[in-house]
Amino acid sequence: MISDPPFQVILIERWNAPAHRYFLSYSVIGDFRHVLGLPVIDEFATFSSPIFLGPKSLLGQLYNVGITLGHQRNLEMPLDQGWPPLCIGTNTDQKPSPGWEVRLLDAIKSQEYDRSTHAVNPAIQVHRMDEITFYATDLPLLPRQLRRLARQGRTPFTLAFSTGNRIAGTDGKTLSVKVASEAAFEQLLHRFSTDAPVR
Amino acid sequence: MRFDRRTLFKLVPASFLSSSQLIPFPGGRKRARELGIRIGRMQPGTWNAITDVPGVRVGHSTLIEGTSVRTGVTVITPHDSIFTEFVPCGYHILNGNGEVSGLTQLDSLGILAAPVCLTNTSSVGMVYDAVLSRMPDANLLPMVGETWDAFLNDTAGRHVRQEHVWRALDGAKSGPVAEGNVGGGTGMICYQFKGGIGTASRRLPDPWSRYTLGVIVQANHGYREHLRIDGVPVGEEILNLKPKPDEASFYNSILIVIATDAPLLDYQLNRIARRGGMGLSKTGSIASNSSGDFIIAFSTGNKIKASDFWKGKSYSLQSIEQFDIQPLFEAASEATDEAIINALCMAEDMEGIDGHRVFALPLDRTVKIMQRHHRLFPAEEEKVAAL
Repeated sequence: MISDPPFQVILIERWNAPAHRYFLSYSVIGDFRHVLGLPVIDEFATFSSPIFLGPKSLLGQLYNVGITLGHQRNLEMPLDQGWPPLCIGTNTDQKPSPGWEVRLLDAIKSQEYDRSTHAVNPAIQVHRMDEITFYATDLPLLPRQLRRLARQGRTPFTLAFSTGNRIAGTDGKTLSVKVASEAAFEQLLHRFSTDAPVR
Repeated sequence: MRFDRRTLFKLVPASFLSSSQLIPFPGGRKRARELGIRIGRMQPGTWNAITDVPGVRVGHSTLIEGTSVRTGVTVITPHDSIFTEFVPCGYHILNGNGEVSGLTQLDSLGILAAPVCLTNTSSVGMVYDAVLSRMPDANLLPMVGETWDAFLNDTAGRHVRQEHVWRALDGAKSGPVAEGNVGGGTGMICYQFKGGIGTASRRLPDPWSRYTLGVIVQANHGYREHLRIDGVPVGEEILNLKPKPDEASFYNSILIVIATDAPLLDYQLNRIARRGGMGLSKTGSIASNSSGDFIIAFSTGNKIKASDFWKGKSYSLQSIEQFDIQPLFEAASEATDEAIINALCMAEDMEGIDGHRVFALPLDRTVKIMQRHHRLFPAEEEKVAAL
């Protein structure tokens, strides 16, 4: 998590990791939040971008930061290399200090990808802020399971993603995907609804 | 689904064409490709049917009794062990004025755990019960879809019973699939011609040439003037031969079932299902306000043992990566388009309840129209000249 108030960025991996995607889903209940990037999630159920949060009045500029990052990663900005930037508007009125775009980019890029230290954060986490809940798990969940998980959120906008499957291009071969059984998934649902850490 | 037109039936007097006006196509009914009509650019499988997907079987129970029973049930079995080995499944609803049971569960679990059944509106409950009686896992739901056949059938009589469903299940087979006035499609109407069951398939190109995608439809939709065959406005050129008595509306429904042995996950199958809707639109449908246009898509490329699905820790599935999925979109669109045209081409004239009559697509006129628009195979044009 990178924080430069009023912005926050959730990084799943280093910004320039090799091309890949993770499964993700979301749930909206009576929320009119400004969010950019959802159509691609609806279609492909995956994401490869950091998750950006910032004031809804600055969401377009925040999206521009994400696009810049994507282009620097790959000019074509394919689906598994930063397209689209997932940007979620928050309701804060806090004003950022000048130069925030460059600072944010630098903060993200300072965490260079290093294959020798590459690791996906395995923690199961619940993060709530500004009426948004983020569920993150390394249990291998498919998008439909993540959607069910997202529906457990007690906030108007809930986002759930799994690092249990790291999806990369297969060059004409089939991809192997792990899926948690319903029993394992039910255990996770129970844990999230009772004793998961809330930060 | 439908407008409730039963009241209309009583208001409009019946009038029929004489039998001499019904001109059969030489050699009887033919499928689109036999007529020289070629939909799309991909190649069909051996049977040009959903049964080209290995393991998929189709069974019909057709009920044609007396003057008023014109209905039935069609079952599509993904593979022999579907009750204990589930397959990933997705769906798409173009317009939701209809019923397909089990969709809420499908939405959560992403699997198909029973044959897909196609029948008439009033028989969904009976078919549902019949399938459920054979399912070992009562937690899972049968998938039964409906379209409205009351113009030709005594649908209120609910003539489809358990034994008919079981007969279709037990008789389901691979190979060529009967089309037109059979099974659940027996009393259906499509673009105001006789409709019903139609099927088609496509072989995928390299690197997925070992896989096939097949489609079966129960076609009961569409307004005549909208009908297009391979882009040709056939409906605008055949404005007579409409059902008798005239109806206020024929904006009815269609059920589309897509099967493939290409390994896909449920959310990918949702995407495939949406492309089935593209094939439907190419025949002229606008998914009208009163219709129930449902598309189910399943993949036999992954079989999930019930014990793994429910109880294990995790299991593995194979999947075609999203960047490689494009040929399946094209196949789904093409095969759906051709399956609907096959339903029209294979259905025969039918007279049903209260003397209502629906005419089949006149193949001779259709072929000549297609020829005039240069949309026939050259080899077929010689046959047309001889008509």
